[in-house]
Amino acid sequence: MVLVVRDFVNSCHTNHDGEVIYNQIAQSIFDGRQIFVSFRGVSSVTSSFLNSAFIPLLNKVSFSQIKANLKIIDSNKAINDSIVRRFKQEVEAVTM
Amino acid sequence: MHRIYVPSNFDIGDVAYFFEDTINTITSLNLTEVCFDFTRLTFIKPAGVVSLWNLVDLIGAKFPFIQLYYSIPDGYVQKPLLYPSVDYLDDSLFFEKVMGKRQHVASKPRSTTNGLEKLHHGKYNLMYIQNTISWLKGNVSLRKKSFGVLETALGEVFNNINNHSRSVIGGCAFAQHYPKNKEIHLCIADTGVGIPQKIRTKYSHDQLGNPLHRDCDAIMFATRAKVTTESTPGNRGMGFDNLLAIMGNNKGSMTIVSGKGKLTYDYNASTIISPDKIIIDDAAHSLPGTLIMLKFKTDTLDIEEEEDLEWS
Repeated sequence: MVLVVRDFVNSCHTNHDGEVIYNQIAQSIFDGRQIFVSFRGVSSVTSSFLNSAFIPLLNKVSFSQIKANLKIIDSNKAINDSIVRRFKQEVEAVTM
Repeated sequence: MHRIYVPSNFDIGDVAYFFEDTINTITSLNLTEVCFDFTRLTFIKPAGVVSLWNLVDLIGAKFPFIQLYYSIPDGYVQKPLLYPSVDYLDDSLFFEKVMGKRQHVASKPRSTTNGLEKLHHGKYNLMYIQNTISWLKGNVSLRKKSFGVLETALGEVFNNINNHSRSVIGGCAFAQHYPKNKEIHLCIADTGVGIPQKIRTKYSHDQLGNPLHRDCDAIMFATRAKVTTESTPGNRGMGFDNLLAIMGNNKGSMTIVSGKGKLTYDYNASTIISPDKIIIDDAAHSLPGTLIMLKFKTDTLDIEEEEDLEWS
């Protein structure tokens, strides 16, 4: 399944933007189904967006399961670095 | 009529004093009319530009019955180039936005500035971000660059204003491109509660147990990951931490002024003096709200390229 972010939000900057995307992807991740999230037309994401779109997934599934099923496509280096960095911050905080 | 002279040199180091002195003067003298006098102005930078507009709006909010006037050099209209700082303000749209009209008939926005813009309270201001990126891409030398990091940085600052500042008048933003220095300066300021006061609503000590007596200590603490006053449920305290990471990757610099505190991160700072490249200090004067100056290096910006995420 492919979810194009811009079909649901105009930008990836606010908590609200993130909540909209989370509601679209969460069940797939929880069910162990792969979902491709396309950032076509998006050039940046903020921590607020990531805090609401992706980080809450960790409340219910492991980071390994997220990596296996959440596929980020049509993105750019800045966005990808932000996503990886944000997840690492949460995962490393738990393991400390 | 009481005259308040805009400082001859007006940059980030002058803002707090000017704010404090102006508000104190109006209050102590119970003024009903004030004239902002620009005749001594010889040098002004983006921090001064945004601060001037915020100050005018703050005065309007705190002293609703006061009448404000403005005085520019007599010879400016005939020979604007003799007054480059006033000319710069005019081209930056300061007089148009604040006084209702440009002062010189030929005044127009410069290609190297993005024009002063008001950030409205409670609103995300996505359009300002989009307009700023469009303006930058209009520069031939920057057209292929990826400005995602600038968008993210502006987004982090705007979220901070919306989620935490409680600024009644919002704030304002101004951007300038310095092609010779290969830098882009973004200055955003609000007149809300300020970081130190906001931090102290929840924390009295930092992560090491040191009391947050100084405003600069509170600002430093606010930049740590996961420090949040949780103004909204989605806050997890990563905004300033992300901002520092962005400026570090860019090899740029960031200055935050709030209350009496000032924090400067500079990638090029001496690690002998400051191992984490951060210097903090408290000044004698207090700035209401928060001013953030981001200085991006353009030669370290990535070229715009699409890629998929590879989880390691």
